Amino acid sequence: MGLRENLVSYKMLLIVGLIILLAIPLLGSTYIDFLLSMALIYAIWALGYNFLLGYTGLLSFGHGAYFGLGAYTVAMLVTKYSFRPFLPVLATAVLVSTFFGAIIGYLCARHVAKYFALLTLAFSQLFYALTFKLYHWTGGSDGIGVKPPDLFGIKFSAIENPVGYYYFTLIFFLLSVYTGWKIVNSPFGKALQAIRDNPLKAEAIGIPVKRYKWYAFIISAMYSGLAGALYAPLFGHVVPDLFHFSFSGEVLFATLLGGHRIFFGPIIGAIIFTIARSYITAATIYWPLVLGSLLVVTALFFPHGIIGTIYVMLRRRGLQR
Amino acid sequence: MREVLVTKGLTKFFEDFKAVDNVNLILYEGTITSLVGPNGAGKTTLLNMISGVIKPTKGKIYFMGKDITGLPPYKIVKMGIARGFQLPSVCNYLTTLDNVRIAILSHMGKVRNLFSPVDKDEEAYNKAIEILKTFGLYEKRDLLAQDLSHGDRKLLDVAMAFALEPKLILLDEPTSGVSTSEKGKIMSTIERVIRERGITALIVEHDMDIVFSYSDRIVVMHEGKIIADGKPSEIKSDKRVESVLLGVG
Repeated sequence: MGLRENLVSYKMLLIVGLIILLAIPLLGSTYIDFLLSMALIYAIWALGYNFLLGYTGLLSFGHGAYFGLGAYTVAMLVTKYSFRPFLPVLATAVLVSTFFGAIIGYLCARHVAKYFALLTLAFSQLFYALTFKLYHWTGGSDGIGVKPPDLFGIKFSAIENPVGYYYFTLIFFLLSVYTGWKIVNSPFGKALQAIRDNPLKAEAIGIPVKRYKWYAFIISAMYSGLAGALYAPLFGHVVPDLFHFSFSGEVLFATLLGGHRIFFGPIIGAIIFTIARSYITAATIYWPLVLGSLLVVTALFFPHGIIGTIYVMLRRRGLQR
Repeated sequence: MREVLVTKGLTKFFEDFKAVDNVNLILYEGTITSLVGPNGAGKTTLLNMISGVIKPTKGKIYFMGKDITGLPPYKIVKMGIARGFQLPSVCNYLTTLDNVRIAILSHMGKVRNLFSPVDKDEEAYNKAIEILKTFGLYEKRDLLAQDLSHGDRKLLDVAMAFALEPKLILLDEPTSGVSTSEKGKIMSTIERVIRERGITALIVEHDMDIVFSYSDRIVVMHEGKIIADGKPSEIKSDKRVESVLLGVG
């Protein structure tokens, strides 16, 4: 198969995927609308997370922090301060996550490998502890119930308007995919990939490695914040668990499941993860065991993840011809 | 001739071990200088200090009259010093083309660009293709660097250094691990590009036949010190150099 034909079939797949996503509400199930909204939010999160893991080669155990900051900002503004216009609320939430991502990223990006991972985890746990301590402000272990924000004068939440909320999320998902795709194929994106493959060489061709790792961290925090901000009105409640490292583990799991070496890997991984978890938790109380086993199988037999494995197989076939 | 690089009393200790000991070296514009010496003589350490990978314990490094001692590698690159590595250092999961292209984009100051597609930059593409053709890597441009042979990875590493259009290039054994039959060919390509572009070069090399064939000047290091410095003909007849390099006497 030639490169051009490959591109055509790639585009076809994208169009089919888009049509499926657009058609989901036609199924007429509020639960599926909710589930797919959640899946798209996880996909935005995983896409942002993969700027670090897949494209810069940095393993973070603390990206729940930026998701949580986005979600808590929305919850506080809407419920505690009765500031309801959704678009400004979303923008504020993304700014807050990005701001903290910039500070924490600056401190973490100076360190490599395991120290980087441990620092991200430590900062995330710090937020976890703070949400308990500052209970007058954050609601402590009870969290905060999220009242519906206003969108162009109407009360807008997943409960009031499940189909509307799904399409609203879909728009942000598509925007995220578009900008994400642009970034990874830009000179900046290639510079990140050079750092991932060989930091010493990247520095030797004039790329300021620490600074670019920091930029990647900020971008990933921004996407995580957007995901968290969209999550709050959908789920209707935010709790400190969003800051716990086990929650950060979910985005890592989703990313590895789909495959961190390929752009659409984490996106598909997040969608599969969200749907699978929903059905597995409904089916058995031993769902962590099932998910854990799934992760072990993925790590041992499909290190490229689901999409990555398919891609590698297609590439091999292409090379053999 | 113009002085491109000057080191003054350059010294590096690794705890008690003197890797480089009071090295005073001047490189003149447009010349190829070979750096030879037995293993552990301090050649790579010297290159690492000039390129900013490690900081000297003592001494100063001046490039085009400016003090560059202790600057981070990326700043030194921007000033016009590029280097190739002893073990091929490339980006494994980028294509051969993208490896060269990212070096070019970095040199052009375009890596901050977040949204314009890398493929649409014709200037960078054309420059990359020219470099790939020069080093015989054009046919392999779409292969991932991890799928290249050792010799090609070595060439790609060197090609990326040349893509930065440096004034001074530091090459650490550019032909190590390459088959003997290929060595001469690769070295003559490197020499041709250096001469055509008027680049100043400092090249670490073990194969003395190759060293004598292209060098304007040879600097011999032993136990961290420069023990001989001169034209190839002078070095050839230096008995002390022979004993150090061959390990006799």
